[in-house]
Formats: sequence, C-alpha cells, structure tokens
Amino acid sequence: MSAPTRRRTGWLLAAALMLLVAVLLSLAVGSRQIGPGEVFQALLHGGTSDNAQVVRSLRVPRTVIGIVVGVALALAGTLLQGVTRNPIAEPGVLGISQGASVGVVCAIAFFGVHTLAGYVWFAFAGAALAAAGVYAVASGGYRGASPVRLALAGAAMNAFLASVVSGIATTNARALDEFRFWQVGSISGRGSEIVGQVWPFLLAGLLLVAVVSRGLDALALGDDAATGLGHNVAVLRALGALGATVLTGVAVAAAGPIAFTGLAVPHIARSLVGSAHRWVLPLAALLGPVMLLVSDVIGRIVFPPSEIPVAVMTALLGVPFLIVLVRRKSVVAA
Amino acid sequence: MSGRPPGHVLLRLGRGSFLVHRRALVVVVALAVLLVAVVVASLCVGESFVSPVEVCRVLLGRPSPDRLVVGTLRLPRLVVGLLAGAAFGVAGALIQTVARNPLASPDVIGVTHGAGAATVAAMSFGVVSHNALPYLSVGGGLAATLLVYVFAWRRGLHASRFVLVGIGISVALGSLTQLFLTKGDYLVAQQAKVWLTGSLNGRGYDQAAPLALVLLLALPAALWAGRAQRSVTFDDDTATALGVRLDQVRLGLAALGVVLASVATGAAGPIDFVALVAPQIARRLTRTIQIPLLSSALTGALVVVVADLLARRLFAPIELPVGVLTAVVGAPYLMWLIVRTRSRSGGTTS
Amino acid sequence: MSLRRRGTAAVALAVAAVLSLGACGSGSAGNGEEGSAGKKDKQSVAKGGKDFADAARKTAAMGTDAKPGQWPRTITHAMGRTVIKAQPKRVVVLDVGELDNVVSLGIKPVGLAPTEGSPQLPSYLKNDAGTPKNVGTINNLNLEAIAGLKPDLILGSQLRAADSYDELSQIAPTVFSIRPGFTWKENYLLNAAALDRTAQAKAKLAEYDAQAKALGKKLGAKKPTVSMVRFMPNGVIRLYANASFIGTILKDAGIPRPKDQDINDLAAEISAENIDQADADYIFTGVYGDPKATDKSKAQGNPLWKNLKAVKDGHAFDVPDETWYLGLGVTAADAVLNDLQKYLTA
Repeated sequence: MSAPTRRRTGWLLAAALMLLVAVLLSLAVGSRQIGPGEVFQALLHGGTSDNAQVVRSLRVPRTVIGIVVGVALALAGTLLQGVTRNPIAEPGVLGISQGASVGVVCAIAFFGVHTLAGYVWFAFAGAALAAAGVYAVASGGYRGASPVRLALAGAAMNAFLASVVSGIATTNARALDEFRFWQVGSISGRGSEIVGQVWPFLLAGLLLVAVVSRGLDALALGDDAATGLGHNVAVLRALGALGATVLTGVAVAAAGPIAFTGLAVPHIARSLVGSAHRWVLPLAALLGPVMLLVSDVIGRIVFPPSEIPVAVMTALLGVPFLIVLVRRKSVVAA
Repeated sequence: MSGRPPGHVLLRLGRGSFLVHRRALVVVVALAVLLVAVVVASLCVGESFVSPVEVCRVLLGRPSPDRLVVGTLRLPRLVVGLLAGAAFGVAGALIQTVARNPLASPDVIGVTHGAGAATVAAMSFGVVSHNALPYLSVGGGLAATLLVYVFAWRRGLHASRFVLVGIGISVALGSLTQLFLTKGDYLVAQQAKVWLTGSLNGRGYDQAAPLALVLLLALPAALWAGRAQRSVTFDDDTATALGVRLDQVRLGLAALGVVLASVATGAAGPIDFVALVAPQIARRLTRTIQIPLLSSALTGALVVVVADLLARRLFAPIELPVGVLTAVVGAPYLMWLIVRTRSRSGGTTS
Repeated sequence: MSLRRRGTAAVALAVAAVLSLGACGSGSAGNGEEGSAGKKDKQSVAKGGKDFADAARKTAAMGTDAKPGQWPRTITHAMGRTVIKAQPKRVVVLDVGELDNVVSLGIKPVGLAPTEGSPQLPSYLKNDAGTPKNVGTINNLNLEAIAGLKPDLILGSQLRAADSYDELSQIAPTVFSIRPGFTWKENYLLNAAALDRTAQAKAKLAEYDAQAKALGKKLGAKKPTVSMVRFMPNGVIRLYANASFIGTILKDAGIPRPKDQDINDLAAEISAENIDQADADYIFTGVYGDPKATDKSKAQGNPLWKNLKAVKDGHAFDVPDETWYLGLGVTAADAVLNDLQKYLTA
C-alpha cells in the first residue's frame, strides 16, 4: 500500500469508528437521563420500565433513521456536486428537496393523505418530478445538461416550488397545519415503519452511486475530457442525477428537508482523502450519519427537557468543521 | 457574439461593434417602459380600482378622494418595492460577477442571513426599539459578510472558498435564527417569520429614504468601477473559475453589492430570489460583456413590483408576503430563457 | 494578495461601512417626523421577566376618564392618545381577542383579521359575531381592505400590528393594547372604554369571576392538580404555564398546577422522552391544528403516556383548542370554565 492509500484507508477506518461511537451516543444520550447500563439492558433484554421503553421505542428508530438519512444526503450531495461540477450544489439548492415538499403539500391538500407513512410516496414523486423538470429545462439543447444551466435551472425550480408550497399552504388552512408538522427536518417522532418503506430506494440509490462512481472522476476533468476517456457524458450525468434524486427522496421522505449535510459532507470528505470518488463516496457515506447523529444527540441535551431539531443543530455544529477544512486547502476543488 | 438574439431580429441590422450597446440600450429602455406601466397599474389596482387620472391627481398633490388609498397605502410600499428590487438586482449582479458563480447571491455570502439573525434576535429578546430594526439588520448583514471575509481569507481570497465559507456562515446563521424563533416569544416568532419572507406590508418612506440614498451613491460607483469587468460569462464547462483571485476592484464591487443587499434587506426583509434571478435575466436579455448593472436594477425592480401586485391581489383579501411570489414571477421566465438559449458547442452562453 | 492589496481591500470595506452608516443617519432623521409616538418599543413587551409581568398593570392604567355617554372621548392606549368623536358603529378587530371582546359587548364588527390558516370565525363566537369581512391575516393586514370598510374604530395590539399603526390611525381612530394573551381582562376593559361599554364589560368580568370562584369552592380544600399539554409541530410538547390565557383561568379558580407549570411564562417545553413530566391529577390536551397531523397519537401511543397517573385514572381529556389554547376573551373563558366544571366535578 502506498502512503496516500494508507492515509485514506486510515480515514475510512476512523470514520467507521466515529460512526460506531455516534450510534452508541444516540442510543445512550437523550433529554431523559438513562444510565448506560440500563440502556444496555433495554437493548438486550427489553423490559417494560419507562426507561427501557424510551430506548427501544424512541431512540432506536431515530438512530436508524439518522443513519439512513445521513448516508442518503451525503451521497446525494456528492453526486450532485460531481454532476453539476458546482461546489455549492446540493439537493436543497437544486430544488429536489423542495419537490418532495410540494409532493407532501399536495398529498395533504388534494389527496387527503394524513399519515407520515402515506407522505413517503408523494415525497418521492415530487422529488422525481422536480428533478425531471430541472433536467428537462437544463438540457433544452442537444448536448444534454451543462453544469451551469443545471445549477441555474435547479435554483430557479427551487425558488418556484417554494412559492408553490407557500401558496398552497396559505390558501388551505388544513394543509398548512399538517405541513408544519412534517416540514421541519427532524429524525425524532418518525416511526421505524418509514425505514421499511424507503430501504429499497436506498439500495437502488447506492447501486446507481456504484455505477457512476468512476465516471464522476472523468466528469471532473470537463465534458470533453470525459468524452475523450470514453464516457458517455449525457448518460453519466443523467444516471448521476437520477441517483441523487432517489437518495434525496429517501432522505426527505424519512426526515423532512434537512439542508447543509448534503453540501458539507462531500467537502469535508474531499478535504480528507482528495477528490477521487472511489474514496470520497464511501467516506461521505460514513461521515454523513456521523454528522447527523452527533448533531441530533447534542440537540437533545442543550435545552433539556426539550430538544432542538436536528436540521438546526447540523448546521451550527457542521459549519466550523467546513470552514476549518476549506481553509486548509489553498484552492477548493469541486 | 454572433448568435442571433431570439426575438430581436431587427437589432441585428446594427453594426457589429454597436450591436451590444444598442441592444443593452434598447433593453434598458424597454424595461423602463414596462416598469412605468407596471407602476401605474399597481397604483390603480387594489381592493378598489382607482382610475389613472385620479392616481395622477394624487401624485401631483391635488386633493382627491383617493389620497388615502393611493398616497398613503399604495405609493409608499411601491416605492420601497422599486428601490429594494433595484438594489437586490444590482447587488446580485455584482456578487455573481465577483464570485464567478451564477448561484451566488446575497443569500450565499451571508448578507441576508446575517441581517435575519440580527433582526430576529433583537425581536425575540427585546433589546432594541422598533426604529432600530432596519439598522440592526444592515449591521447584521455587514457583520456576517465581514465574518465570511475573515474566515475565507488565507493568503489571498479565492472566489470558491469565499462562496463556500459564505454558505457555511449563512446556514449557521439561518439555524441560529431558527433557534431564536423557537426559543423566543411565540407572537414575535410569527411576525419574525413574515419579516423573514420579505414583506412590503406596512413599509414606507422611513425605509425608502436610506435605501434611495445608498442606491444613488452606489450605482454610479459600481457603474464606474465595473466598466472593465466582464460579467459571469464563463463557458458551459466551467461553473466556477477555481482559484480566481479577487483583486481590489473586484473586492470593492463585492463590498458595494453587500452594502446594497444589506440596506435593501433592512428595508424590506430578505426578499428571496430577486438578487439571483435579476442579473441572470438581464444578462440574457442584453448579452453584454460588461456587468448589466442598469438592466439588472430595472429587472429587479420589475420582478418585485409585479410580485407585490400579485401578492396583494392573488388571494385577496389575504395578502401574501412579497418574497413568496418573486420566484413565481422570476423563475418561470428564467427557465424559459435557459431553454431558449441553447448551448452552442464550446461557445459561451452570453 | 500582497499587503498593499489587502490594504486596498480594507479601504473598500471601510468605504462600504461609511456608506451604510450614512444610510443609517439619514434614516433616523426621516423617522423623527411622524409616528415617533407610534413606533414605541414593541420588543420591550415581548419577552423578558419584568416587562412581561408589567404588561397587565400597564394596560390596566390605560383607558379613558370620560363619563359614560360622553363623546368625543380620549383614549390612552399603548401607542399614545386617540380621540374618538362619536359612538363607534363600524369596528374592525385585528385579533381573536378583540373579536371576543366586542362580540361579548353586543357589537358585530365589520372586519376581522383571522389567524393564518384559519379563516373561519371561531365556533364559540359564530352566532353573535355577524358576518365580518376578512381583512388579511393577523400578521399580514390588508390595509386597503380595512380602509375600504370605512371603519370608525380599529382595535388591535401593539405586539401584533405596531408596524401598521401609522397607516391604521390615518384610516380610523385606532386603539391598541400592549399585547394579546394573559392580559385579556385588561385588554377587554380597554376595548370597552373605546366603545363606551365599560359597565357591561365589568359586569361580564364579575360574572366570570364569580363562576371561577364557585368552581374553586366546589372542588373543596384538596383541589386536584391540572396539567395543560399541547402538542406542537416538530414533536414539541408544550406545557402551558401561568402567563397564558388558560393559566389565568386556572389561577382564578384556584386550581393548583404541577410545579414545572407553575412558572411566570407562557409555557415550558419538553420532548417526547420526558412526557412523564406532564403528569398531574388531570391532563387536558389540545392539539395545534388537525389532531391527525400532530404527534399526538404517537405520544399517546408511546408507553410513557400510558404510564401517566392521569391517564391510568381516566383523567386525561382532549379539549377544544380554539377556546382553551387559542381563545382570548371572556366568552372563551366562560366556555373553558364550563368545560372544567364538567370534567373536574363529574
């Protein structure tokens, strides 16, 4: 093993260890104080005490959802940044998360769907439609979507859909009330049945990531260079966008819109292992859930007995890391 | 620059070197005419229709039964909307040019979130009088940008690091705002949310005056300093010119943009999307190499005024905050423009 | 960048700062002319211990010294002094509290600003409120719609609408209380003073007071503790405390609260893990918006909920949100007292 490879492997192992610690923290620490021994007992043997119930029926599901969402967001962000070659691309910026929100608002307002489990499908449909719309606008020409136009069309779509959401929510009282409960990104209070619904999509997304992983490196060199290396740029970009959409759908359906993770994790990963996607992607997949779970845990304990939603904490905690790492490099590569 | 401007065939009769300028000029004049029409319309239209004749009487200060509705209720918010739109448009043009990223806007480099966090913090914790809010918001915007500048500085300032750090700070401040909203008084939180969307409701000359002053000073300065600057005309293959160093002129332009955006945010709240969309539309309309400052200003004003007209009338008597509708006005048009301007192989988009 | 370049950058930033400072200066000059009385510190009433508690006392000191039937009268209120020339006939109310106030005094308002997302009249006021027109929403008033109604009195609160006071006061005499909420009795008297219905309002309040005292007496010396739980968006569970509408009613009836709800604040917040802190002899839950939309079913399905003493005893009840938690004013208070009577003395 060469030195860089050893270093990169080291980071991967470290990230895996961090994930383990984050999972343990997420199970053991909360706004209610439960001793580690009791947590352990509850996990292994169950039990009917209040504390055991909290661990098993509240903390386990939110930890699982945290992992799923973290993986999905981090990978979606990496894909989008690669595909658009824009360092500030992420599911939120490109309107895909917003598409999911539109789906959920429509489900409430027009289709009479009122359960979190029912929202999932609408979130997916909305994300898919938004992504397809962005792609169609951006690839209005014959060469397929170019990075700049993809980014701009995404931003325009994002803003437009945000208006649609507020429009529906303002004129439909019931939709507003229900939507508020879904809208804030949170991994608490969402049952494990949601994981059961989204895992096939997570798998499909991971598969697409594996497929496009090598092509992303070529794409980073520019469209012409990638073509020269024998890649079909249009197909590559479409597959990458599809993968990002599916993964975003997973994340948003499971936890509501959570910004920043998808943007920051790829940058953090790149600053640690360089820009080769075969290293960036797995590291991002490990760091995404770490960021989400650690933020969630801290959000549970800063204002006890109440909590702070994970979407708020992620940014507050993740930003310092992003800044430090971005400063370490003299030039930031996308 | 040989592409045929869609829908403007006549203009191609001009000589090559004048084509750009004539086009820019024509665009500016056309936008101005459109803006005047929309301004008159939004003074006439409302809960009750006021005839243009009466509107003119009010504007000229003649006695009129509609003085209250037109002069007190419609005109001040219209003026704030015009100025804020223009300021956001120019700010966006400057910041996008300097950052060399079409997604860059005051949002991205911390201005609006800094202003938001300062305002909401002040509102939630009751430290200041209502009069001071706009100034706090300006201060917050500038402070946040300064923070971005400090953190992004490392042996020089590179555009992409600047933008990334800017987004980071923005997101953190946005989260802080959320925190204030959830932990502060719930009634204040409701009002703060309206402010955070950007609203012209209840805005008046108190807010318009500082904005007008800053625009008057900043626009000529930007025009003068920006003469030689090329707008974001990178080709399709490079979204961001990585490693671009910001020289002093660019930095000065960015600072002007930041001030404009801060003051506009102080006056009308962070009206979404205007700063992003106005320069993009202007650039596609004018096809100049220079930063399309004037047409960005006019486009920005147009987007905000049309959006506010819709915001007032669409679901009447319920009024929406104008920030909700700026995207409805601007986004479809921008997308249409993107579809229209086919990417030419290897060529520039401008 | 070289040092020199950095210096230039600093100069550029300094210029920018001076520009914006200039803007500030000119702005404050502009502000001096009009409405300086109007835009008082609305923040000082929003949050913060002393001011929070002072709001009721300050509001109580407002009103008029005019005799019944005397017009014109001058009303002292949160934004200054306003002269009302004659008995108002066309009243616009800017919040549900003011709506309750005028309706309970037998006046049908011509305009109403409902809360975002619930454009209908509250059902407990529907019968007597007539058909007021919508004038926007509480946080986004449609000033033109208000002007179009040609009102002769506008009632609202500083905390809600201070921004629009200048415009509103040019449309019609405008009387603002300091804030909605736990100061509802003082606000009621202020509104009544503007309408020359002070005696009627005092009678209503006395009636309410007697009813509350009677309920307290009925419950005897060992009163049960009552916990007020409201499920909010984002999994937040609010325990309503003393500085809330419902808090004032429970206090008037002398009904004790669990310790963590016996605080001078609107509410305490807890997470789902800590729902056992909501326990008391009785629990009254309200749901913000549609019950299906909240975590309520989830929280109540969670094992901790079933283990609560009140739940085990069958003493946990869902109560109407619109009177208990959204309500403000004497009509809503009477409705809450009736409900309390029903549940606590059953």
